[in-house]
Amino acid sequence: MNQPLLDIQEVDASYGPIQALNQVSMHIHQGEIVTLVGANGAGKSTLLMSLFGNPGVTRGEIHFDGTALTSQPGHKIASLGIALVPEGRHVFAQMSVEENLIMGTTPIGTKHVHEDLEKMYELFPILEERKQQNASTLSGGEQQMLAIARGLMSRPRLLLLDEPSLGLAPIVVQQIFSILKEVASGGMTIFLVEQNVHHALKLANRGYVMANGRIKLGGTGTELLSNREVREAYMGG
Amino acid sequence: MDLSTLLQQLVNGLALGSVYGLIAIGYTMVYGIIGMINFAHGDVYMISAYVTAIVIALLTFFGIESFPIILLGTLFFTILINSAYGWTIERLAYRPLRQSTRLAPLISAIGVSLVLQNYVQISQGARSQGVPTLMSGSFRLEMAEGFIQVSYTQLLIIVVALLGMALLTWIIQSTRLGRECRATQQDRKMAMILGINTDRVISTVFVIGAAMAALAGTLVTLNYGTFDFYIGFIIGIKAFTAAVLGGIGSLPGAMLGGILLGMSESLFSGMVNTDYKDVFAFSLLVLIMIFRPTGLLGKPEVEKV
Repeated sequence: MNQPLLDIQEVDASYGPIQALNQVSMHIHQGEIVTLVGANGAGKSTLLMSLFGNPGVTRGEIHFDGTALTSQPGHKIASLGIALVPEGRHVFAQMSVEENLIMGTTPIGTKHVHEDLEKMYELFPILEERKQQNASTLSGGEQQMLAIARGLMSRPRLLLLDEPSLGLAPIVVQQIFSILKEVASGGMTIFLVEQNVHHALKLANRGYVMANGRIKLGGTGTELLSNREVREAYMGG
Repeated sequence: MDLSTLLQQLVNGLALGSVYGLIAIGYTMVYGIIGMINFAHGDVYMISAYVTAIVIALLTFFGIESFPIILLGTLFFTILINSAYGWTIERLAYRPLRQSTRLAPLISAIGVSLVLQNYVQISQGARSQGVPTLMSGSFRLEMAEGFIQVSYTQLLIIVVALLGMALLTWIIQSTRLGRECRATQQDRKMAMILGINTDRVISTVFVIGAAMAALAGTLVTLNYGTFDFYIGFIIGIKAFTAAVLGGIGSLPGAMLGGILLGMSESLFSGMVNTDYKDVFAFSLLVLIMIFRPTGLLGKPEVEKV
């Protein structure tokens, strides 16, 4: 295979004296859906945020389509084609739903904004109903949909999702994952960080397991699901 | 007190309040975006008074005497130079402290304030300076008993201030720059992830605040004529009071707070005592802090989960 779209090589990162990432290496090819699972505090979100230099990488390399990310300021990352849907959704609470979506176009400008808004409203009909409302009035599930749609508005080549199922009712989680499946079927490269191992590994082509800032295992979804170590490392037996 | 005196004081208060509102914008926007009180803001206003005098002197030296040209010329240069001050102060005194404690930029701001005052005092002299009256005359509204008098400069202050506020509101509500400002204010990290250069946005906010202070400084200098290196202090604290009254962090709040403070101060002067008008304004600040710390239009800080 040719070179991966995202290539993370032996990356270290720390918050002050606490080392959060230790020799992390992984890669994602164009068109793949890759998941990263692991317990709370394993370093999953830190890995995603380190792509944006927050925390900064102290050792190792991160390349996106051949470009070194570690030498770029955080706000330049999005314009390379990387969209992050962060943990906790982080919608702009005092902006309308539509304004939130428009904010997503920051890296590419508003040339395609009408077309893309239509697409998002098709994918998430509830957002069209609520487009004039402040994002703070949305339910958790709706905010998650808004956060995903906002990420897609930049027409990313790589979509990073951090715990999209966090704190949502099982039925809403189902809904979110079926939408992600739809997005993935359009050829989007997705990197999904999840604690919901079952859903995540079912959706993904491949997965990694992280614990204590290190990658412990890697393999296909079914491999990992049937692996005894995964149960031990993550699901606690 | 009869009706005409009351209305007269309200008109005076509206003009004074528009000035407070313009300056309060700088406090409130900076607080909204980085959570600091820029104590040097009043001194940036003071700078614009000096620039106004210098530009007027230069224009008259070159034989330009038409008032509209002088007005536009001074506005242009004070806004330009003040913006440069706002940008530079943020870059030199606040940005290096961004990762530091909340107290550090505050102390730095007091330092900048002292530096500006002293540098102007040394370079321009400690004595009070003045500009000649360029526009005189007034409207006189006859009433059943007495009259109201609105000078052209007062009218100019009110109109220009309202135009400035309307333009700024439009920028914040409807332009890309405004959306970026609001996004950075609401969630700076997320704004960065979406590709917004938040450092540039913060610089822009300082420039906007300084430009609004320049607008106020030019108008007041044209109206009152005299100024010294120390004028920024008291009017800065008043404008800060206005920002707190309206709800610090809220743009319409700054304007509303400014106008309310100006009017109540003016009414107090007219009805009670002129000497104690500052005491009155600051008592108001204390009362707001006790009974409504979020101000009139401010939102209580909600911890995000």
